[in-house]
Amino acid sequence: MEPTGIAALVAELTDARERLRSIAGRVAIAADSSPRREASGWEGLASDAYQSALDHLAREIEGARELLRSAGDLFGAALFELAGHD
Amino acid sequence: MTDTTPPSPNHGPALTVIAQGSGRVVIASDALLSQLDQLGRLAEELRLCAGALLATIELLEPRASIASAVPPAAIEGRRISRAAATTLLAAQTTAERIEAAVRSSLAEYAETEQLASSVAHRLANDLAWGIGAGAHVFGLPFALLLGSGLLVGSALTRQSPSVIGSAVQDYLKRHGRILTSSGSVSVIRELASDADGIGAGFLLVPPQAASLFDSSGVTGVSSSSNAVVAAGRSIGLFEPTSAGVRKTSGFEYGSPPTSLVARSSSFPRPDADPNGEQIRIDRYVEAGKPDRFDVYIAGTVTFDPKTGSEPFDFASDLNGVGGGASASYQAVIEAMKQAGVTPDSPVVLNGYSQGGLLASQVAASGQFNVHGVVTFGAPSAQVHIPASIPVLTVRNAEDLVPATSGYDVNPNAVVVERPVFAGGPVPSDSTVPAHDLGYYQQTAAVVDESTSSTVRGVLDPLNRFGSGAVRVDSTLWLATRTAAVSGGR
Repeated sequence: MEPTGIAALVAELTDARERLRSIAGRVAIAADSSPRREASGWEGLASDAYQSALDHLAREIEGARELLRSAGDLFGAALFELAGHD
Repeated sequence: MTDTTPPSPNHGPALTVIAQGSGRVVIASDALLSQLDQLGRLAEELRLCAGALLATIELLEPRASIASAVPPAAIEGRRISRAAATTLLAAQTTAERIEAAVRSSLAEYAETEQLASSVAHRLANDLAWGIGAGAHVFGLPFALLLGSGLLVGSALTRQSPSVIGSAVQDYLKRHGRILTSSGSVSVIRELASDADGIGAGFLLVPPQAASLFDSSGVTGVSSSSNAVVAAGRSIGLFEPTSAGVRKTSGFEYGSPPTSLVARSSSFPRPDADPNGEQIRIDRYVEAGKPDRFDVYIAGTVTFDPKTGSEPFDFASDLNGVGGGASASYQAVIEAMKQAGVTPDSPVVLNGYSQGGLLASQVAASGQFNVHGVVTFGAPSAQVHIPASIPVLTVRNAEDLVPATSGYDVNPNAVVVERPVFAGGPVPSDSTVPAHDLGYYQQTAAVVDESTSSTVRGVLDPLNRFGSGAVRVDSTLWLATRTAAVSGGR
């Protein structure tokens, strides 16, 4: 492998990891500002249904955050591996 | 601006927002409306994050020349990133679905409320007709019975009938929940709407015709009010007069209001001030721009049905609810003109109680360039204000004064309502404590903290109305009744 190709790959992966970190930060802020339990005005079954939907949404966002963390770790591992080629 | 020391808000009960737009009515707690706004913003942010992630993945598209050098971890990282983008888009869809479902259910709830209200109104109207017809047949015996009862009560207690009336008022003060409850407010609102039904029944107008007149708007709260005025005039009450105004003081003072509390604290207090001014007009001066004005109109000063010198009286209340140009209305118009408000001057009209009714009427008249109407506890439900004018209607849920004007007809008003005595004791120092301006100042403080776009959408422009002003010229105006008007309304 030519060094310039490796260097470009390292640069791309480094850039991608930074972008992922930025996106993960935005998602974390969005998750923090999402509606919480204290929804006024709902009672009984409607309250349960609304809360269940919010819980489902929270789980999806948390799942996306986990995947973003994993992807970032994998890019980090790839960069570590490429550093070994130097 | 005047004293803007915020009253300590009672943060117990939730604020209810009633808003109409695009032909749909929404009735919800302010907190829930805020959450719907949050869901909308969340969905948009998730969509943007997913887009940014997909763009990042595209940049990592492996080129053939270095494909063999790409570590497996990088390939897996790219795959996981794509899965994350898919999950973000799924979450976006979920947020949008929740928001849409809740908005839909709120609209259905409002429709159900309207339907129930319509059915109740129809039933109540029929009942009112029956009461009227009964009064026609049994009226004299009933009146005799009532009169005899009063006289017997008077004889037994050795007190005059008027003293018995005072005793009833004291009783109502001690048992505040009788008048001060949202249930009583509902009954009053329905009675106000059905008073014509009683009259139609008394005149034995066929119930179908009475119902047709009511639903077509030929009769209703306004004609009921006018009927009361007409009846009063036959016995020397509610005498019509014109009115004049006099500027009593002018001073440069403070800064424009940036909150609803500041507006609610800016009304003149004719009952407490020595001169008894009912109108305050603040002019905001900014170089290179036309002067802007905030008009503050006080509430009813006297409930004496016999016309005196005070135009902010019971007669003006009834004239106003009846849709007429009352003496107090004439005074407000005259004060605005004398203060320099031109047809082009941007103006915000603020009114408490009768003042809110007058503010609504001035806005509805089309004479001025009205940028907003703010009312507190006003019997202004029947005033049609053009949809282009933002209207913020503040009501305490237990206040029966706004209910005396019946059901809202405004298609664009944002109504915020809050119970002030929920679960707590009702003060006994006033017959209608929920109408006191102090409690409205508390409610204003709660409204100021609203985060829903429905409320912010009308309140924020009001808070910015005076921004940039380099000077505030405040004037106070005293209105008085002048010559009697022959044959006037």
